[in-house]
Amino acid sequence: MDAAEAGRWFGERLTEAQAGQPGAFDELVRWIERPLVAFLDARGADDPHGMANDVLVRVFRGITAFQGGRVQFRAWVFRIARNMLVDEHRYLSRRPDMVPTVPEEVPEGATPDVADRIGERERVEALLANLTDEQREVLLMRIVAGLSVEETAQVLGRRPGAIRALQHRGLTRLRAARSPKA
Amino acid sequence: MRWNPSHPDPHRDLIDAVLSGEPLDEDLLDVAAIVHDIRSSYLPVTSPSHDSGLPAAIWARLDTDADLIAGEGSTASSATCVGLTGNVSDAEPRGRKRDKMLSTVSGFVGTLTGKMLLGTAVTAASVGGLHAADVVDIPALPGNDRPAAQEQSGGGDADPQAASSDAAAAGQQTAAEKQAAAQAYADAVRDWTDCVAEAAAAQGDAESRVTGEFDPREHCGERPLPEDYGLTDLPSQAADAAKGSADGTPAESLVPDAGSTAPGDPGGDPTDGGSNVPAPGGQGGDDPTNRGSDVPAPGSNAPTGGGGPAGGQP
Repeated sequence: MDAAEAGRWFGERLTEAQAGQPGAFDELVRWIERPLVAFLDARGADDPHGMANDVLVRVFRGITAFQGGRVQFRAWVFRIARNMLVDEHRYLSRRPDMVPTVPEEVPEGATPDVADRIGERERVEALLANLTDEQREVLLMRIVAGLSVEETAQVLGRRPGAIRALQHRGLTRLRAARSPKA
Repeated sequence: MRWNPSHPDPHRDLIDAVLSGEPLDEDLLDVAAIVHDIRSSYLPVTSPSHDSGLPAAIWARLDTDADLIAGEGSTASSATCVGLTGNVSDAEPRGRKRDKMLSTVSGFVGTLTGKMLLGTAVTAASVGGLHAADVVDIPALPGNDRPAAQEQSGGGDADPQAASSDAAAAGQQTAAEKQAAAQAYADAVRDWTDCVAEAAAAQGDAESRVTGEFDPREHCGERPLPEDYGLTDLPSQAADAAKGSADGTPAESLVPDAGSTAPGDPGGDPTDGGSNVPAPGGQGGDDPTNRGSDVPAPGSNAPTGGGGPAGGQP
């Protein structure tokens, strides 16, 4: 599906969803929820699925008033998600008595596949820890959420050039962190 | 595509190239590996399971404001379904929000601070009420001793239209005179009731007072009438009540007088306060369109910039 076809598909679904056809909104949800959950997970949401649901309900309630194309829609959804992440981080920072999320441990008797996945996740998180928060956010939006540079710029309220610079510096750091001799 | 660490421009589409499987130079293979590692670590292999009846349930829920009833075949792992059934505060019905609010309030009252605040509020209300009913006199509280004309002029100053009009100024003066007359009448009634109370206390036993043998007019004269103070436009009920209290026993006359001598209602003319004192809620631009909007405006969240090339494909 090329960009024009994807834009046409989105326009039809959006019009139907705004007219109140449940199936159309369901298709939009199916389209966007997977990268949304992954992005929330990567950004450290306490309950990525629950937060994704909150985001999608807000989208559902505001979709009749939404105006824009596919790029604006994705940027709108991820901006809501980002705002909710910020709210959650603020809330958790004000509640120091809450139990922090325990890093995932490999359960005893786990299959090698599960153990590998958990180990890989820890390696990636350790790698991403070398980045600044801005670089990490940009790279996760680009790589995990699949947003374009323009969409990422709209979500973060920055110019595309700044996003490209952050992305470049982040990748350079990751390269250096993965192969320290280089 | 080659790696140029000194300038970001050559890498503007590097991630897109990696994600789309575009062939890369050898020096970019490690970057591609990093991108793939990050993507595979967070992106689930499959989409969350989905309930096919979910959209209809959403519409039904929002249309009827009723609880969502999950259809048959819905799975507990369905992300959207879980969120809609128990994890979404914005979509909750008003009744549930009210219950949540009440539980929050009751929880706060249960705390030490809440109890202290509640006790203070109750005490303040009780003291204020006693002061307003002339049972106790607290100088710090505004009441009968406050000059009525001053209060009236304060209300008039707050009304810019009245200040700018001569006719309004004349009406204001009339209202001030009426206020003063009402205050004088209220003072006279209070003096008269005090006199009656003292005379009754000095008169015989309690039984003889309640049987009607005690005539307050013998001791304190006629009860002051509003007409004596130029208050001719009182409501008929107030005049009847005043007349009845003058004819009745002291115990009866004290009760209805409390209303007419209350500090906030001198003379009992309801038109005075309403026309001259601006309503406190009238200022501040309480726009009803700005209130109670649960739906997030997409205009505020939606980006306004122009569209660019589309990103990931659905």
